[in-house]
Amino acid sequence: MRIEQVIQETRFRLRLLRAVRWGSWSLVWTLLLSALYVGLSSLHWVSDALVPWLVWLNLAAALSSAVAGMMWRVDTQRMLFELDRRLQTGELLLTLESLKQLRRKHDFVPILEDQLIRMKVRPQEVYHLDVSDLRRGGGIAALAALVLAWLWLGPFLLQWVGLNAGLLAGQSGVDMEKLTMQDLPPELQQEWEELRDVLEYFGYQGGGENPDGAIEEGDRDQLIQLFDDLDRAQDQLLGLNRSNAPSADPAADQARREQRERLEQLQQQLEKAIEQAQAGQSPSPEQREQLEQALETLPQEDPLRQQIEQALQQQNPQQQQQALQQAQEQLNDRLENEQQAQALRDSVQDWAEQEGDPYSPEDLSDFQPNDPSGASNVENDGQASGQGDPQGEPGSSKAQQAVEDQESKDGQRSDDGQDLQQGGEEGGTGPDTSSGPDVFGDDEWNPQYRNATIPSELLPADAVQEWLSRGVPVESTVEAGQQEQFRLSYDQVEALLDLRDLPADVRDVVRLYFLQLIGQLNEAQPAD
Amino acid sequence: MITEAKVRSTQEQFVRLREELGKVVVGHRGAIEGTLIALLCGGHVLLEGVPGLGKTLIVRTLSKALSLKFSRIQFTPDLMPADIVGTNLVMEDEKGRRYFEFAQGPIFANLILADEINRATPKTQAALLEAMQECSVTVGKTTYPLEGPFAVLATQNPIEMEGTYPLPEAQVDRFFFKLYLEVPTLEELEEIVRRNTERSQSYELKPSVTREQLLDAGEIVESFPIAPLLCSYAARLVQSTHPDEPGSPELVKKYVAYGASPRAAISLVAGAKGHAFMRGAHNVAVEDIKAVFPMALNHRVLLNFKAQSEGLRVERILDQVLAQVKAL
Repeated sequence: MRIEQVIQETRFRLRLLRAVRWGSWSLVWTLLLSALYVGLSSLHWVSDALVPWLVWLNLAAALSSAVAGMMWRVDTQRMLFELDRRLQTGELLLTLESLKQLRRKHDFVPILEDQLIRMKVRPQEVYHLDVSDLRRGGGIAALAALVLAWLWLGPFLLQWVGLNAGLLAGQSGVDMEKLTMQDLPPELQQEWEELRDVLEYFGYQGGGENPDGAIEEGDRDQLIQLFDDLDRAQDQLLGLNRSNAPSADPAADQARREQRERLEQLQQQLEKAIEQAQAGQSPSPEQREQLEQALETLPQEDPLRQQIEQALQQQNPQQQQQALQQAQEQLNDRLENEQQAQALRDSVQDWAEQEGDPYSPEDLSDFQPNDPSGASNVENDGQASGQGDPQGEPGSSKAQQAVEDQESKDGQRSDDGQDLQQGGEEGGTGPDTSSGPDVFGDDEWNPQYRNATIPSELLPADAVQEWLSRGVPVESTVEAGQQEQFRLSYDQVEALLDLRDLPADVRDVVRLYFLQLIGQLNEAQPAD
Repeated sequence: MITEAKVRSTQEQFVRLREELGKVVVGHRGAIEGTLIALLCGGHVLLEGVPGLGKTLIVRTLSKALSLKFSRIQFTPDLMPADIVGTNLVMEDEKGRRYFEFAQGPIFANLILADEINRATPKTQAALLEAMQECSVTVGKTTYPLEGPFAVLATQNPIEMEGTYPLPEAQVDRFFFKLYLEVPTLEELEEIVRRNTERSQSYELKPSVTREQLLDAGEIVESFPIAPLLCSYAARLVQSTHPDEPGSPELVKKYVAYGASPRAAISLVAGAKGHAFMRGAHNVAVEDIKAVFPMALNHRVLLNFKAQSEGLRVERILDQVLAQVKAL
């Protein structure tokens, strides 16, 4: 190999190696910074706006460093000296290169060139990836895995180590893909924008004004209202006439499902009719009958139904085909929009369940915003809580109010799944003989048990004192002719717990204690 | 035209010469090598060692191995400059007319052994100055050139300083190398005894390198290539021996009175070429510079009183310079 070839190959290898090393070192640092950033954003100490861009930022940093390494100037003398040292060629390459730079030909040039050829210099023996490069590569892979793992598993790990759930509010599992729907009809688009604002306020994906997710009553009302609107929009799209039905009625979901299936059948019928029209034939009487039956699923005043009926009356197969196709497109759009609305609802529902906030839409199915009484599962006028469709007085659509009005409810729980005899209730409300849900077998904390009114005789004075000293809100009321009663709000207790780093089992113990108090209360005050 | 074959054969010739010298002189391989390098580079050598180590033997053996004109001058306090360079004698021709005729002194030779050079007076020592630097001798108004190759191989004894005249710095600087002869090891001593007491062990040296061959070899060595980067390295090494230099080592700043002269840098690079030649290479490497660095600089770096009072040797300082100054 001639000196020119050695220089060329060595220079290329040096640049390549430098590109790899600069790029990898850059990646090491950016990954470390990314890990730090992801960690801090998980704790909401910094905004997580850059999280989606982290992969690209890392790649960009590595790539730009690699390009810089490739383009950076190579000092030929230094390079050859290093090569000489590593190959132990006694500065032959360096000397030969410097002799080549001379204007006159030096006597020793041919001698050194011959010597170089005999030596069989191989720059790749010197400039190649070494153990430290491989180690760095392993480190990069580990760091990248760590960052990705933290991105995916971080919230669960934080929860596992018992960090405040409020801190995790920003890492809720709301699927952004679902929530960023572009093709919503205008009426849903409006709902979606409002819903999105509310969710952002509560800090889904972090960075909200209220990232701890402490949903206030007004916000919750707004959410409920939005849910109602979504329900109505869905019903409208499906052609369901449930104007008087509660939007959060569990039967509503079933009704919508059935209506959706019927519309899909209508879709198939239309498809067949269009195929026949394309073949130049009118629908057979049987088909016409089936179509008309399918159309019965839509209300008389529904424009889509009217359009299909008009299309069926067309005598010209070609015109009929066009009219049917237009109707089919409309039907498809409707079903698609309805599915998007459903997805929107599901997303919010998922988020709410993950938030676990007592006022979140998690419990929307339990409430009836349109219900005048404001509560479906709260017993009113002696009706058992959580059973059947709620009925109530008009004028109150706030589930929160329903919860607060729930002082007269009763119910009991067993921490081992053992049903406890339900106790009576005070304040003139009727007894509830139904057994309540198993609190400890179910993550959902029924609002029914969020408040309890406990006679003072059941509460040791020192316990009350202890609660008060720890900031647990205990309201004391003394009514004429009755014992002093303490009113505890589990919601407030839980909110207090949220402010502290408590292991999950400690939280359960508090719940259990609370339940036992209620149980004692119920035993002490048998139902009327 | 220098060809690889010519270079190779010349190198082999001098390697053989070195081996031949080794058959007579026991040990002192560094001194022999240094002397040969100095000869190849046209330099002079100052050999220093206690009496009986073989300083004179080395020079005498070298003179035998080379087919060169050899002179030995035993320096004594009463030695006069004319005893070295020669003098104009009044002669009478056939017609009875008198005239001056220059009688060449012992300096008119190729190889001069200046034995115990520090025993002569400074005036006599100075008589060597012109010869060593200019390769010429001026007597009266006439300058007589000395025939090349010309090399002064001087010896001096570091002990018995009484009645001696230390060489002036200007003269010391003219020596290409200063070589120290160390006390032989036990095995070497046994070998020395055997060779000098048994007749069968004596080795008769025959001349193996002619004057012309030595001159050719000198030309080859002179044309040995050295990369500018290594020249810069040599210059930086020499520069670092100056205590006023910002980057010089701590020992230099503390113990050195005067650093090496530019002549030291010349000797260093030329010596490195000679070293490369002797090791069979065709260009100068970093190792060559490092190898000759102590030989070329140990007599050119002057220590201060503090160093002398602490018994610090200049080699230690040079070692630190070598360790601190990097080639790149």
